[in-house]
Amino acid sequence: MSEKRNPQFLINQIFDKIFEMGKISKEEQEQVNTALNKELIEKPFRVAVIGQSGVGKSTTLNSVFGLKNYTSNLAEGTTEIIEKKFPLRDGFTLSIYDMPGLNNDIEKDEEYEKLYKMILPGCDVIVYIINAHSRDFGEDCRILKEIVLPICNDNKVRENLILAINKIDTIGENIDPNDPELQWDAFENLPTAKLKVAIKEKLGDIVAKLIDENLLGAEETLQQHQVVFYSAVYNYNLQDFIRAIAHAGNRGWIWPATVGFEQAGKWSDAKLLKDE
Amino acid sequence: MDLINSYNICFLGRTGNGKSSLLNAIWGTNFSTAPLVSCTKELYSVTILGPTEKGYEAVSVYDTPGIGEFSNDSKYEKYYRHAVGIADCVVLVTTFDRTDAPAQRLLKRMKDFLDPSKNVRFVVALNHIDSKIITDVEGKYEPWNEQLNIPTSQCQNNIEERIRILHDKFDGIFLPFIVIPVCAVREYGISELKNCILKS
Amino acid sequence: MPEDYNNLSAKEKIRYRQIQTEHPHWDHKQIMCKLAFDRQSDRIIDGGGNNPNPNDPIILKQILEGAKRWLKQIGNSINEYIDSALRKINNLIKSGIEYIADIFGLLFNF
Repeated sequence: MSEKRNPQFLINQIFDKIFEMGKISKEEQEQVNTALNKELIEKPFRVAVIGQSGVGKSTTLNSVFGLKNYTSNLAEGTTEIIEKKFPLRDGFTLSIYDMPGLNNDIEKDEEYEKLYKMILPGCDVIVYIINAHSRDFGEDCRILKEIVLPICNDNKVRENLILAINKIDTIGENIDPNDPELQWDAFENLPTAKLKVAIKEKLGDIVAKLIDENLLGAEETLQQHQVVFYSAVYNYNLQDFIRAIAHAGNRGWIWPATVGFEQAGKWSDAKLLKDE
Repeated sequence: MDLINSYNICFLGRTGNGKSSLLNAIWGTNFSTAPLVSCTKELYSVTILGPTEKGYEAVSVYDTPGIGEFSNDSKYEKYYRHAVGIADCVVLVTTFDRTDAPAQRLLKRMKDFLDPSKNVRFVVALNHIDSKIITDVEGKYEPWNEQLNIPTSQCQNNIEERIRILHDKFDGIFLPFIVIPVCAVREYGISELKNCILKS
Repeated sequence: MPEDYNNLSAKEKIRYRQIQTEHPHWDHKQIMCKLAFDRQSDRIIDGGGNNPNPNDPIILKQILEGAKRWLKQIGNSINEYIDSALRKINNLIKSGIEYIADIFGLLFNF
């Protein structure tokens, strides 16, 4: 940490500016600062991450939430969900509930559903990760429709949901692994022209299916800003992800207001990313 | 086209598990096998004419759309019911991937549609056994002995483990079954699978 | 037609009709949702999926709105100042400025 001024949370900077404008008493200022610190420190920011193995949960938690070397070590058959706390700076804590994906075994699914009911309502953000080329998209829709969305609606936390479509960089590979124009341009960290078209088409398909399944675009369903697409491994379009987090529920704004942008400095370009 | 005196085989499995490749390997058919793109949207059936081991005139094979790719109440449900309803043999194509619940649920639903007058066989084909993408594997994993065209002993252990898991999950759900490890692209286990499907 | 349809550009209206033909059983809200998503993905994918910079006005807006709600809860009255900051950001968003050199200077310069 440099010796220059202590890095301040973004929200502190914003409040300082507001206070500087004057007309706000010292007492009020202190009251806000105390309450803010209390809020940030005493209530960890809780994130539940749901997804099958292979969707990129760990990479997402590394890239988006800046957790170094995160590995999901959920053994199959875990019925104990451990809350993992990550102390970030200045007393702020990020708390992750790594939820097992459903669909390994119908008997375990019953147990897991109970876990979901127990844990999801207490989370500030619920991230449901799917692969852009998911072979089980019908199942993801079923789980969202029958399990996740009802739990969220019952507990009024539907606005905390984010449907995160990962691995958009592999969309081309799945159409034709041998076509070089359908591969991700890792050097520029961009899709090629042909891949752009394929990605837009695929994403359009996914969104259309979600609307058809009554998961998107209507009352009591997801709204359009809750669906984000990205590539965790290439750090592509994490911006939308952060926006969705900032928008989530009542407390989503807290994370980007504190450490969210500290991560941002490390994301901007895969080429510039240093090894952590 | 359902022939009256035909032995009907129904192939089920997730998209990408290689149902179509297996069909092609066993019967020399030409189903499309583009990687990981759902090819089988309609119910494809092919009928192989000629004397068969069972003495029937023909074998009809029904390839179905991938389990789990479409939601339960989709129009594909009726395809499954039809294929299972006339089947003499049901083949579930699975891999090392443990996302088994959709298949468990489908088979549970289909149980009632089996033809009670037939003694329906149930075979589970464990495909892609040469795959290197396996969770819980420490260190370097070499699954295939290229020289002898057989799985290595490391792979064999994984096969046995997977067979145990399959019995854990599927015993009592549909019908009694046997698991045949295969690798369609390497043509391993194909004749064993064919015999198991057809033998009387 | 609902008001938000009338506010669409000519090109978007064509796209609206197209979606309506492709999905005849969808209602207006659903079509608008698809349209919004298509617009978003066009913008992002063509623009290169640029990653967060701390001056993203949309995120700042969310933060300020969240902070405002929270301040209301703790009974604080500095909301009017946040409101003016939000108005400022809204104008910036409307004029399409995505990257701002010194957002704080702009935000509070009045």
